[in-house]
Amino acid sequence: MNAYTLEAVEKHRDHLRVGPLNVEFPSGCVTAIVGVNGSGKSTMLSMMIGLAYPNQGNIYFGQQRVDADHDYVWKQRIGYLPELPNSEDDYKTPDQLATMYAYWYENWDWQLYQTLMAKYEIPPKTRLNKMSKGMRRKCELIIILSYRPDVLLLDEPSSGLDPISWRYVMEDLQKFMDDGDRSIIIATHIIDEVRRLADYIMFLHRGQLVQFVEKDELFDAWKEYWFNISEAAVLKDAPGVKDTLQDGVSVRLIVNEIAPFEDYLQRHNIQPIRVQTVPLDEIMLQSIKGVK
Amino acid sequence: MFIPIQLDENSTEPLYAQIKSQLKTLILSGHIETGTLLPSIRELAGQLSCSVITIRRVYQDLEQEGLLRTKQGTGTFVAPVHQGERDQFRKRAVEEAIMAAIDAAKQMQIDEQELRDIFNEIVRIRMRND
Repeated sequence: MNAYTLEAVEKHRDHLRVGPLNVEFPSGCVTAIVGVNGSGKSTMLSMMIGLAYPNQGNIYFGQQRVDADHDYVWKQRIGYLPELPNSEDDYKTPDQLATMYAYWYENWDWQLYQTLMAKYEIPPKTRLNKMSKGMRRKCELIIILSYRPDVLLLDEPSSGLDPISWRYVMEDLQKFMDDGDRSIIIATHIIDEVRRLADYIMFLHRGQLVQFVEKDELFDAWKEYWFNISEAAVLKDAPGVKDTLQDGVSVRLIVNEIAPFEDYLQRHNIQPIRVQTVPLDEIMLQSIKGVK
Repeated sequence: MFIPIQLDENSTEPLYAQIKSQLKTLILSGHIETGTLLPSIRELAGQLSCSVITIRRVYQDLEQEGLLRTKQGTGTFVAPVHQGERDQFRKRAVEEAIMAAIDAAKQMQIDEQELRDIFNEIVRIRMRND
């Protein structure tokens, strides 16, 4: 069962052409969408909640086609946190907003709302436009958690959060996932967030899907090897090398697909000085090098 | 419950294999006792910052090997381990450590006699103190 399915989805904007995207987001999992600014992450999320319409293709939330009809029913099950706050809410207080959501959303949980408001120390009677950026962000997150959706669509949820609040949010998102059928789709620039939360990683670049991969598989597949400079000549023909850095003392290779590379080392009887993990930003950089 | 598994991101051993072998060691060495309820898949994935897919695979594999049991709706438990299996495991753990020592000796170009001398010397010193 998929939380979301995208079939040949395309969106044309002046500066950006998103798609065609064919993606299945598995349910019960956290998928992190990563990519540089303007890679199409927010556009994709806004199409998934029905705020932007694709020029081509179909989007399904579970079995439900995402289109304007009857959205009142299925939107109850999605918690969407847009990238920027909704200016219509500027003059409302959290309690006023909660009252409105309690009216429209069947599963609204006042107790959860109160608990989270206390935990994050949000003043319930202060207007949203009087709050700091981070506080308003937390408040918006509390609102969408309080109607107990099945799926969260989060567009950079932690922008503006202090480190302590960030940890609380990570815990609460993990808690949200305790019920095994729920799903989170989260666009993020924060690498720690991907490491902590994600089961799958989706790479977008210039509106195109670069990779949709299980997180551990991705990190297992990329390693950085350090060798003595004397091995440089033999290493020139090694398979899977994506990048080489060299100084007078050592050679450092960034390798994707380590099994053939390890075979090569064994055959040529070369020992690395050290092996280390490749950080996600470096993997991203290496992955988009070939993408036009 | 907190499971003392420590992952080495810098190893070329896949995360899945690291988690599986460490969890197996914890069970067979008796560190985690028979009947213990393990954390849920999501919980352990959170603790180790790895994906639920990896943990699910580890639990399924260890269940197939008879070390874990899953009760529908309750969770995953440590299954009873036979004494014979435990003894075999203890022996194998030591064998593996010795094999690693032999590999290190080869790398350092130490011949068999020299290795035996080192081994005997260390056994003499370490075992005497215990």
